[in-house]
Amino acid sequence: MRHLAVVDLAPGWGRFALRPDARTPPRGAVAWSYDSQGNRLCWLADRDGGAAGRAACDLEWRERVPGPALLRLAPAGLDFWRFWVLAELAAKLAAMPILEWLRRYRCGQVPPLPVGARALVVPRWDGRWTLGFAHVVARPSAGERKPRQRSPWGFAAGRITVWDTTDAAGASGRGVAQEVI
Amino acid sequence: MERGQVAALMQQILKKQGRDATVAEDTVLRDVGFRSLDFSELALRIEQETGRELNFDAGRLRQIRTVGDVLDFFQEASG
Repeated sequence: MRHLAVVDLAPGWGRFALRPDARTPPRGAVAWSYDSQGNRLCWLADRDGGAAGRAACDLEWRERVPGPALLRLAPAGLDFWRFWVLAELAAKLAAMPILEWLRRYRCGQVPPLPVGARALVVPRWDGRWTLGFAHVVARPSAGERKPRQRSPWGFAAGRITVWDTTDAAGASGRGVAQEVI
Repeated sequence: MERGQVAALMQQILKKQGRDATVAEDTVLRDVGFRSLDFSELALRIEQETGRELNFDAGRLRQIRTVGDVLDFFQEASG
């Protein structure tokens, strides 16, 4: 099977694989998604997503032209594709169809992710896709975890964090995503 | 909204993306490349055309698999 890319994400986020027209679920992937061109994104996390909490990923083909009604959903100043990927991630983590999610949250705001969720967005992968990865960390009970203690996925405890890659890293089509926020 | 009008809007969206707009109703959405973004765009277009918010049950959304399911859903939701 041909891979478009198999790429390491930021430390602790694992890897992703982008494949053309692959239909069988991949082994070891914690989440997967398809774009309008039939390409499949697989998220191969370092840790067991089932044990660590819910996980979701999404990819969008940036050459698709969204209609004006869709464009109006994104807050001013936020790239539409970044908005849409975050909306898809939020809906998937909430196990909610996207239309139901839009009905509840369509107010031109940055999509709210569930409490304890973290997301990583790659705004321009290879210049053609926007990719997103998110998970909800299984939350230990009070007293089991101290502030700043590392989560099961290797992150410090805290509120929602959105990470981006730099455009340069994304455009190169290779390399490791970097935290910029 | 009438089923034919929903189908026409769906065809417009597919055609705009350079995809085959003449698909059979039993075609699975993934096979025609109709994804959640297209589905959402269709929903917003229908609301624009009718001037009303769609009225639907979230559970019904989970059962949508084919082009015919989409037409049924929006015909009901916009009725």
